[in-house]
Amino acid sequence: MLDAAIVRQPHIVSARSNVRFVWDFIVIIFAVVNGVTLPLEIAFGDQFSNEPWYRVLDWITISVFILDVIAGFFTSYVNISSGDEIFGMRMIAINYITEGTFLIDIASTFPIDQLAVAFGAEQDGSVAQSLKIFGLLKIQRLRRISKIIGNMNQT
Amino acid sequence: MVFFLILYIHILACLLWVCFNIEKTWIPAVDFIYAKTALFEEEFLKQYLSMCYHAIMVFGLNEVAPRAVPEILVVILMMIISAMMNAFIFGEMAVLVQEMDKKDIEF
Repeated sequence: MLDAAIVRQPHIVSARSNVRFVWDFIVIIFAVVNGVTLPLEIAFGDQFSNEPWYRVLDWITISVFILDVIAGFFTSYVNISSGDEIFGMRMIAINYITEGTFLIDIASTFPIDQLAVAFGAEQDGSVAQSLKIFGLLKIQRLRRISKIIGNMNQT
Repeated sequence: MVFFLILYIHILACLLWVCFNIEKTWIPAVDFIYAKTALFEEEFLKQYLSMCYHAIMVFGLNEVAPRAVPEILVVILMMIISAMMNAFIFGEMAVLVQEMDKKDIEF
C-alpha cells in the first residue's frame, strides 16, 4: 500500500512545490488581515460592519479559508518516519484529519454566526456576536510562517 | 516578535472594549477628576486608540481601574496572561539579539 502511495499523482500538489508555497503565502496574508479585522468587528462592530467593503472583504476571507481546507486534501505530505512524500489521497485525508489541523480549520472557517442567524438569532444579537469568536482560531494558520521561513533559508 | 506583540495588543484592546462596553461605568484615568467620561460617545478612532493605550497598560501590569465585577475579572486574567507574554516575547527578543551579536563577531 505504501509503494502505491509514493507514486506521483497529477492531481495532487506536492507539499514542496512553488504552487503550494504561493498559496501558503496568500493564506498567511489573509490570516493576518482576519486577525486584525475580526477583533475589531466583535468590539466596534456596530460602527462599520455593515459597510459594503467590509462585507466583501469578509466573504473573500471566508472563501479563501474554505478553499484552503479543500486544498489540504489535495496536498501531499512527508511521512516523518520514512521520509517519503505520500501522494495517496486516502492517506493524505487520514493524515490531515488525525494529525493535521483539520478540526481547527473547520471550526474557525465555518460561518457559525451566519448559521445561527439563519436559525433565528438576531443579526447583531449577542449570540451571533459571541459565536464569531471561533473565527479567532484562524490565526493559528500563522504557524505556516515558520514553514515558509524554513523554505526560504534552504534556497 | 514585534508583529506578535502588536497583534496581542490589538486583540487585548478589542477585548477590553467589549467588556468595558457592557456596563459603561468604566472611567479612563484622564477623566477621573470629572468622575464621568464621554468616551463611549466619541468617534471610533478615539475609542480605539484609548483602548490600545490601556491594553499596553495591562500588558505592562499597570493600573487601568476596572469597576464592575466582570471588568475586574477580565483584567486580572489578562494581566496574568500578559505577565507570561512579557516573559515570552522579551525572552525571545533577547535570544534574537544575542544571535545577531554572534553573527557580527564571526566577520
